[in-house]
Amino acid sequence: MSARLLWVLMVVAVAGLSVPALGARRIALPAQERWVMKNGLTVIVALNRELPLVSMRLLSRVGSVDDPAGREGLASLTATLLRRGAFGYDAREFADAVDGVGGELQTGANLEHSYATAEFLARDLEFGLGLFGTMLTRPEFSADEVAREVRKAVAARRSVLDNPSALANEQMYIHLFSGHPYGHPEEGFEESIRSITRADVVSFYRRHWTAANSVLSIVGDLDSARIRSLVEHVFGDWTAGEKVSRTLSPPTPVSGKRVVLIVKRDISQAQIRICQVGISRTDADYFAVMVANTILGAGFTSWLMDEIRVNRGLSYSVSSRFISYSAGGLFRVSTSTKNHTTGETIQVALDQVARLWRGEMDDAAVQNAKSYIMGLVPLNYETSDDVARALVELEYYGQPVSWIEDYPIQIDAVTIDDVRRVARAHFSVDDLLFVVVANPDDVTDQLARFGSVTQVSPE
Amino acid sequence: MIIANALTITKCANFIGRQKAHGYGSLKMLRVTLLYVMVAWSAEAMATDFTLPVLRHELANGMVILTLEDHSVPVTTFYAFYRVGSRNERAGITGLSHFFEHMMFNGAEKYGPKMFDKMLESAGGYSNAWTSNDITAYFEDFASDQLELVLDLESDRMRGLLFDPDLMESERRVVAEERRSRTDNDPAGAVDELMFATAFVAHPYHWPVVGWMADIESYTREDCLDYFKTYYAPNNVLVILSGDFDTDEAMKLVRQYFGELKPGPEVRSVVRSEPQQKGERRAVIEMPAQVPIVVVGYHVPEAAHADAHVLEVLKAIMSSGESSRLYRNLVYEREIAIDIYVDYWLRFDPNLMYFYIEVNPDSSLETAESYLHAEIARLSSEPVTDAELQKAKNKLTAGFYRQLKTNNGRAGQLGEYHLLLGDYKTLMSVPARYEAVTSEDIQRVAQTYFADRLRTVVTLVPSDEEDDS
Repeated sequence: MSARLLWVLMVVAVAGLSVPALGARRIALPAQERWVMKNGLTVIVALNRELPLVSMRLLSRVGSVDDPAGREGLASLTATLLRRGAFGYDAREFADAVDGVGGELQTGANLEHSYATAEFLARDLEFGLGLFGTMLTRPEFSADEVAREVRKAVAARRSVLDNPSALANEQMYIHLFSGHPYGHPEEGFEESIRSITRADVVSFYRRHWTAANSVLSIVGDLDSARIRSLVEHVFGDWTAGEKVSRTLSPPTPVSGKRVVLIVKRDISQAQIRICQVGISRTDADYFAVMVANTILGAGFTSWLMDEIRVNRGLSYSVSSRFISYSAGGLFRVSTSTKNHTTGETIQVALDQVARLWRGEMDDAAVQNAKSYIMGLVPLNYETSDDVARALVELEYYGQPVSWIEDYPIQIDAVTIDDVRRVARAHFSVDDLLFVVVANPDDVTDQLARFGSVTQVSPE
Repeated sequence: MIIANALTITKCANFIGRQKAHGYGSLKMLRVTLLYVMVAWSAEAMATDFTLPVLRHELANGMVILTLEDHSVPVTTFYAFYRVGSRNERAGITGLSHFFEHMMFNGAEKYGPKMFDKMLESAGGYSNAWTSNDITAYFEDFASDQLELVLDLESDRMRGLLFDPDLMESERRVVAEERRSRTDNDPAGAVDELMFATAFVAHPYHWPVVGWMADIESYTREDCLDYFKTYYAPNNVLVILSGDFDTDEAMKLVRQYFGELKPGPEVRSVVRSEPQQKGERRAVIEMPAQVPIVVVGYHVPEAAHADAHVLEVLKAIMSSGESSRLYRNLVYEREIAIDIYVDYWLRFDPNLMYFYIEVNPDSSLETAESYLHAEIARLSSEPVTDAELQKAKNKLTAGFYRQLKTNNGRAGQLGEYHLLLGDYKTLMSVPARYEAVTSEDIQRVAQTYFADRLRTVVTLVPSDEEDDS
């Protein structure tokens, strides 16, 4: 009996149970109040009384893409240093204050934007927001702290080399986006971090971390009547600055096939990334691409999971994913396997991408992928910190809240023709970059058939 | 609505109110206000009374179900906790509990190979599972109208598994890859494994949850069937439903799908076989690495012991947040460490607490180890201050509430406490038990368990890579 017929029979066999086709339900986000302060800070607040907690998140339109050449890591270092003292209080006092009320506080930089995020018990909202605002609006950047953070960042860079998976992810960005601002690690390189001075940090902060260049969201168990005056007090005298507009050119697509082999000896498992340049978050094909990618590599019934893990036991973990930014993004298949099955695993993965490209999915596969996405999307917005994050990122991308609320409806509207069209447009089988972290003695022979192999020793 | 009477204490220091009263814009005054608030936090405890409206149900076959109805989001979590983990294994079949967890997704009587995930994912559900030394747990998060499907799928695989020989071989390779990812090629994983293998010589906590590679390669179908008969029975599982359902209707379905299952045999208890440690133990891993690691571990009591929550507070004092002792002193002040954490979990049997230091490559293993020993010794030699103690408690209590944010989180916590402490109601008293810990408790516990001769030290020493030129 052919596998395909078997599958049809099984569907019939379980039809009695009747899985109702899921209707597309809008995502229910808590109602928001949004306003722009005099200094230009955009503020969004939303009520969620599920737990006595309040989450706050500030996004500034600055990221590692804004790192000056030779100062890679500056955005990340600046974000970290926000936590290291403000307004006469040193790093210790700040950490004591946050931990003292059981709070959580994090700051950091992504490729295109930076964030500060905190969560406090509802009863500590005023205190917590006060700390949060003080940190953001009056950081000290003491020379000692800058020097210390530089040393820490340099030391932390070295631990990446001990983690094969993290190393593979980082090298994928470096080689896929070579020459583009997306193409260096947020944390920078050892040499570039060392060259960063206090003056660099201060001027970077002054230009980018300003009211007009930022968006603040506060979500949780809060008093809607008072929150506005509270925010005005904490952020009212923050320097207005200006909304920095930068134009990022789209990254150059991969042309042809090539392999970058990152040398790491004495590991028994190769880390594999198969990647190409992908769509931006605002691409018209976004939702169809999500459905196509789900068929290929999201969830336990995806083609990659089925063929690589379930049928062949080649890997514990395999997935495909689009990671989208404003000027483009990347598509990657990610997996790992014991050294001597590296070539076989890559070939099986490529075969699945090719199936997708040829449009070999049927209506059931498309419907299942859509149901899977529609079922899981609400879980992304279950908690206050999830919502706080989503709200500022929508502002950053210039998308309306309905982009999230209607996400299931957009997914539901995708047809098999859409999926086949985007499979051709956005999943290349000819233009691919393979990044493999492995011991060259074990894998080089297996890689040659996928393209010219360049061997690289990491930093 | 989920947490009644929670955190009703209002904070005395009103940052913004004071700022306003003194006139906004006066930076000097703001500084005074902030200072006042920073001092103010230290004395203040969090409220400790909260409750979850949990109902307990029991079927005739011994299956216990806890339900927690909450209609705020149209999703539900199903969680099944089986009382079996690596502690129930023996030499030769180490890792079988975990392997079994994988096989639970590979086909049962009604829903054959691959059908579990196909049915669930096409209905918009998500499933996963985890295995610990003590427990194997499975969960599904799904749109609330799919409850019946989930009960059908879960009862099917409790009733009878297929153990398809081909899928078994394939899954064996998958688990071997999992071991390669998490242990063999991960310095932290390798160190963790060696710590338990060195500190425990007799008790099953000696071997890793994933199992030794040679054992993974040699389980038989009979081993699996035997395991299934013994442990995968309604009287050895705790089921939790949390989320958007009507309890009466849901329980009717639960009875329909699980009521006919036959109870299994009584499970053999695990002997607490570990002899008293007599003298420091040391073990070394040499592997190519940039970052050296030092780990110091001590035997500590089981979850049900009165000292368990004292140890949780002690762990928070040492490692929770950037103001914790190990972060502040070793990462921030002295720059000896890149990262720190303390590993300690509630367990059925006496367990370990270990202190983990990723050593700054510009420092040295010896320096890091001596400072770590000094920090541990300080817990015994001097009492923690009231402010430090309260800070740790607040951090723990807030973290505890955070874990209850989602249906999945609430179900997971209820299950762990019900199994490990014998009653889900113990979950409700966790904040109060943290709050009751005194600085004398911390000092006594440190003196009792953290003697030098009771410790195990594992180091990861970077070796030179071969020259590839």
